[in-house]
Amino acid sequence: MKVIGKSYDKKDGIRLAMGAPAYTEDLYDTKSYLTVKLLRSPHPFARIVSIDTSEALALEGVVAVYTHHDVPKTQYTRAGQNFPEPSNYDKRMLDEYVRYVGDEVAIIAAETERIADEAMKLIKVEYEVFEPVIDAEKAIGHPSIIHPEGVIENIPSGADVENNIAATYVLAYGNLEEAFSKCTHVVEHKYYTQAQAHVMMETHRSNAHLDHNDRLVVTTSTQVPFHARRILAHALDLPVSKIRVIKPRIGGGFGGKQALHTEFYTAFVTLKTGRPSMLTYTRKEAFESTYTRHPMVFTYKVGADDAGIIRAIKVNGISDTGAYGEHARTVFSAACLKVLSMYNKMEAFDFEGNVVYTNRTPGGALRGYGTTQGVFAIESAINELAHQMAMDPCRIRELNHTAEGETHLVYRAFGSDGIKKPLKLIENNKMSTCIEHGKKLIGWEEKYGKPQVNGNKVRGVGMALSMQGSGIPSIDMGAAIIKLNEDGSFNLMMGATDLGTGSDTVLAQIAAEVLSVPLEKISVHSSDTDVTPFDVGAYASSTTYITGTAVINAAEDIRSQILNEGAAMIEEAPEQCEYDGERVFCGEKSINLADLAMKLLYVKNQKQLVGHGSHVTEKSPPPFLAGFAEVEVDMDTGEFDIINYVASVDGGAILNPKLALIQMEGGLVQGIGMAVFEDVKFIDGKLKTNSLLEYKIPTRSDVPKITVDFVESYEPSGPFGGKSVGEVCINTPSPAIADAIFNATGVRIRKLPVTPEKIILGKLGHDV
Amino acid sequence: MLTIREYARPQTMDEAMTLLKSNKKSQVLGGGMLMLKLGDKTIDLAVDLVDLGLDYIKPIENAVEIGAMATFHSIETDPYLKNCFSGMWSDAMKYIVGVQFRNLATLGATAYSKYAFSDPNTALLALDAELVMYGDRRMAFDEFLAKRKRRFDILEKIVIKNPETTKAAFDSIRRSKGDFAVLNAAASVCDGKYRISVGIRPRVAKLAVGAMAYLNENGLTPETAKTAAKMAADELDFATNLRASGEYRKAVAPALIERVLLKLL
Amino acid sequence: MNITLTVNGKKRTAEISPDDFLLETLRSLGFKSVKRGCDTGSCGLCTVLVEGKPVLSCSYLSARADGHEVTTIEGAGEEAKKVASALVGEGVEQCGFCSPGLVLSILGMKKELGSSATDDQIKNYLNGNLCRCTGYEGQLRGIRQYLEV
Repeated sequence: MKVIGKSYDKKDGIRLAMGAPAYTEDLYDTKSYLTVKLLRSPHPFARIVSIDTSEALALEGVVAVYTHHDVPKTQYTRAGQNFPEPSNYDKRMLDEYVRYVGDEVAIIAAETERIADEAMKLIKVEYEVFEPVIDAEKAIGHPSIIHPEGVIENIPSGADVENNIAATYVLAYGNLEEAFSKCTHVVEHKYYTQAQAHVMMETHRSNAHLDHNDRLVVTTSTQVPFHARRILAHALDLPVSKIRVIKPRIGGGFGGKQALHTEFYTAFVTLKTGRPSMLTYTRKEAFESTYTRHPMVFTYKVGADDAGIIRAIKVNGISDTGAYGEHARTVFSAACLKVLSMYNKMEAFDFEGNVVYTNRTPGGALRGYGTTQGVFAIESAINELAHQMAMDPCRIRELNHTAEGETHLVYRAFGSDGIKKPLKLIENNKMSTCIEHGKKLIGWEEKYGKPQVNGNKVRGVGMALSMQGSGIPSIDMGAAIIKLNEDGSFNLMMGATDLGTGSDTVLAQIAAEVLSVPLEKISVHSSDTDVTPFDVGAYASSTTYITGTAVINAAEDIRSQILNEGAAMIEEAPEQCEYDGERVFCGEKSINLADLAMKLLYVKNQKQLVGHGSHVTEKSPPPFLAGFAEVEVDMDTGEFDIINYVASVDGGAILNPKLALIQMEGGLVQGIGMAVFEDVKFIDGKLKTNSLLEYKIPTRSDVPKITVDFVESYEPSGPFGGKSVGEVCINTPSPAIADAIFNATGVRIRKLPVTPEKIILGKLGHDV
Repeated sequence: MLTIREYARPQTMDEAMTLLKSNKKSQVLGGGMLMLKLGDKTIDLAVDLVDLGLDYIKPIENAVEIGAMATFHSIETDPYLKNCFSGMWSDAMKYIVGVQFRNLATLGATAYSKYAFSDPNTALLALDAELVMYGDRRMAFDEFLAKRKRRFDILEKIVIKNPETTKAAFDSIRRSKGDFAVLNAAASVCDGKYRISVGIRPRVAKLAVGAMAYLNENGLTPETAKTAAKMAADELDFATNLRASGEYRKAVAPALIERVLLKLL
Repeated sequence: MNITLTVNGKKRTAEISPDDFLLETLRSLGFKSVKRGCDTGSCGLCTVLVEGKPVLSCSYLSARADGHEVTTIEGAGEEAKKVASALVGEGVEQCGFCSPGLVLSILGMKKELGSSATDDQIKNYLNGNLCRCTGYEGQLRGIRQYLEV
C-alpha cells in the first residue's frame, strides 16, 4: 500500500500552526455583524414572572432584545443525533422556566460587545424561585418537578417527568438469583463518576447571515453540521432547504459540539433583524451553559465462582442529565452495552437504572459517552473482586473477557425498547494480546503484589480493560463525492467533520490509495451542507470506519469511470485496459490521467466525472484496550505521581500511525484528567468550577510517561481493515489508577477523582 | 468585567502619587493585571507604574532591593538571586501557570495585595523582608499583612536582608502543577534565627512563632525538625475551600513543614 | 484614546478604550492568529511576544503597549515556521487553536534556555500553554526535534 499506513502530515497542519484565520471568529466582518449575548438565570430553578427589557432597548446601539414571549414555543433537543433523536424534546430557545444557573433568559443583539454587556445589566427580571433538585439520588419523587409541561419522546425511553425521570434503561438476561447462588465470592459496592468538562480550546460559537438568495447561512464550530441544519429548521420552523450550515476549522470538540448551542440564537437574531450576527461563548458559558459528561452512580454486585469465572452481575445506576436530556438515554445505555459486553462468561446479568433531571448544567456527549463511566464502575468492581479472591486482576480478566470469535449476552437479551438484538460475533478482537503486551510493558509480573517501599513513598500498579464501538450500527451513515479536475487531481467532498483530528487527511489518504495517486492529488472540502454530501458528523468513533468506506465506494466509482473514459479515449474496450494511477493503458496505447482529465473537460467526450458513495453498516466492531498504571504515593501527604501509563490497543489496521498515536495520547491524558485532576463542582446548584482558574485540566508537567502499543488487527468490514481508537483511549485511566493507588496504599477510592486528600482521609477511615 | 475610564502613565513617583490622590476612584496598576481583570470593577483613573523604572533587582549592603515592578520571571532567573536564599525563589515561583504569566506578575503587586493563594507571599514571609512605600515609609512584611492599608499608597520596592547568608526553602502540595497549591510552607535561618511560614491555609501566610522559638532555642536537627513541624501545624488554623478540606490541611501540614525544614540542613 | 505600537516591525495606530487588552486590539488590527481561550489568564493561547518576551495578551493592557514592540506569529518569520513544521511533523498540531501561542512561547524559550534545555525545563517553561487535543507528549517530541537541529 502506497498511502495507507503512512504517517502523512495533516493537510491543514502548517497553516493552522502558523495562525491562519480559518476559525469561525476569524471569518466574519466585525463591523457589520451584530454581537449577540445571552442573559442567563441566576437561579437553579425558577419561573420568569415578568421581564422588562425597555431600558435595555433604549440604550443606543441595542438593536433587539428578545424574551420567551418573542421566540417559537417549539420544544426540541439540542443533541446532534440521527433523526428521530432518542433524546427528549425538552428544550425551548427561551422558556418561561429556567432550570439551572446559566439557563438562557433573554437574547440581546447590539452593535458591539460592550453595548450588549451594558444592555444585559439593564434587563429587569422578576423570578418565582422554586426549591431546586440538586442531588441526583434524591431527584425521583422530589417535590419540584423540573419539566412540569412535559417532554416529547420520539422513541419511548421511559420518561416520567412527574418523577424527574428523563429516561429509563433496563437490560437483563438469565436467572440472577440462581447465578449468584453459584458464586462463592461476591462484591457489592457503589461507584461515583464525576461530571467532566470538555475544555476544548475553542469555545462554542457561530455566526449567521442571509445570503444573496435569502437563505440562512450559519457558520458554526460544530461536530454535526447536518444535524444542526435539521434541528435549526425544526426550532425555527423553516424548511431545511432554506438553511446552509458550514463548519470551518474548529478548535476541538470532544463531544461538546455534538449538539447545538449558539446556533439557535444567531439564526434567530439574523432572521428577525435581517442583519448578520455573531455569538461567541465565553469560557464561563462553556462551563456553565453548554454541557458536561453525565455524572453517574453505579451499584455493582459481581459474583464469581471458585475458579474465578464471573457468573452474575447486577447493576443499578443513576445518571444525572441535569436540566435537559440531551444524549440522556444513549449515554446511559452505552454504560451498559459497551461495558457488560466485555465479559461473556456470565450466566445472568441485570442492568437497570434511571436518568434523572436535576437543576444543574445539563449532561451531554463527552468522549467515551457513558462507556467511560461504566468502565470505572465495572473495572473497579472486578478489581475489588480479584482482590477479595487473592487473584491477579489480569488473571481474572484473562478468564472472563470476551474473546475473538465469541458473542456476548447483551445481544441475547431483550432490551427495554423491546428490540431483540441479533446474535453477533465479535470477529476481530485482540484483547488477549493487548493484555499480554501491556503486562510486559509495565512490568506487571515484577510489580503486582509487591508494592515497593522507599521511605515514605510506596509504588503500586493497577489495570483495567475497555472496549468501545466504531460508529452506531444501522444508524450512522456517511457519504462522499469525488470529482476529477483537468490536471488529474481530485476534489473529495464529504460531510465528515474534522475537529482537529485530521479526518480530512486520513479520508484523503483512503481516496488516494484507491485511486492510486499521491496524497497531494486529493483536495478536501468538508462539512458544508450545500456542497458536501450527508454525514452524521464526528462522534461515536465513526468517521474513519464509516465515512472511510463511503470514500472507498466513491473512489471505486470514479476509478471505474476513469477506466471506461480512458478506454474510450484510446479506442479500446475497457475490459482490455488497466488504470494504474498515472494512466489508462492497453498494450502500447495509453493516455495519462491529466491528459484524459483535460480532454474530458474541454476537448472530447466532454463530461464531468463524479464518483459518489455512501455507507451504513450493520456492525460496530469494537476497538479493545488494556490500560496499566504505575503510581508512587507519598504516604504522609497523599501526593502521588503516575510513574508510567501503558495502553495497548487493538484499533484494527492503523491508517495513519502518527495521527492515531496522537489520538491515543490525547485521549489517555484526558482520561488521566478525569481520573485525577478534573472535578465539576456545584454548591447549592451553583457551578463553582466555572473558569480555568478553578477547573484544572492536566498541564504538560502533569503528564506521566505514556507508552502506546498498537496491536494491529484487520477488521474486514472496515476501510483497509480499520476500526477506531478515538474514544476507547479515555476509559481506562480512572479504574487503573484507582486500583494502583489501592495496591500501593490500601485505600480504596470509589468516588472520582482520585486525589491526595482522599488517600489521607481514606487512611483516617473516611468513606472515599 | 473591568472598566477603566482614564489611563495615565506618570514618569516619576511624585507624579504618580499626585494622580492617585486626584481621584477618589483611582487605582494603581502595579502588576500584570492578571487578578485585577477578574473582578467586576470600575476604575475612574488607572495610574500605571510601568514607566517608573521599578523593575530592578539590586544588591545593596547586606540586602537586596526588588523593585515593585520586578516580574516573577525576572526574579526566578536573576543571576544574583539564583545564588541567594539557597535558590529558594525559583522553587517558590516555578509552578505559577507558565512563563507568559510570570512575565507579567510582579512580586510587588502580589505582596501588596496580600494574596492568600500566593506561593511568593509565603516565601517572602519566611524572609526578613520589608515593604518600602512612597515617601520611604517602611514596614516589615508580617506587620504589613496584619495592618490595614492606606487609601493612597504606592509600593516602591521590597528590601530583603542577608540574601547571601540566609538559608531558605519552600515547598508546596498541589494537585495539578498548573494550579494554586493546596498548602505551602517556607522556612529560613540566618544567624541561628529561624522563620517558618505556612500559607494557603487557605488564608494568607502566617508565621508559626511557637515553632520558630523552639528552633531558635534547640537548633535544627532531623528530630527537632519533626517536633517543630508538629508544633507549627498545631499552632496554626486551617480551613476548607474548594481545593481541600481543613481536615486534610491539618493532617498533612506537619509532613510538609518538616520537608521544608529538612531542606535547610 | 489613541495608541501607537509596533506590530511585527510595522508601526500601527489604534483607537482603543483604556480597558482594552492587547488581545482584542491585535485581533481588531487583523492579527487573527492571536486567540482567546479563557477569561482568567490560565490557558496561554493568547501568548504574544512583547520585546521578544512571551506575555499573555489577554492580560496586557493595550494602553500599556503604547510605544512597545509586539510580535505575533504572522511576523515571527522563518524560525516560527521551523517550530511549526517540527510540531506538524509529529502530528501535534491537531485543532490548531493552541498552536500559534505555543510556537511563540517556544521561540521565547529557545532564546532563554538555548538548545540544551532539559525535558523538565521545557515542560516548566511551557506549562502555561494548555492543550486538550494532544496530551503534550508529541509536542515534546516535536520541540526536541526543533532544538536538535
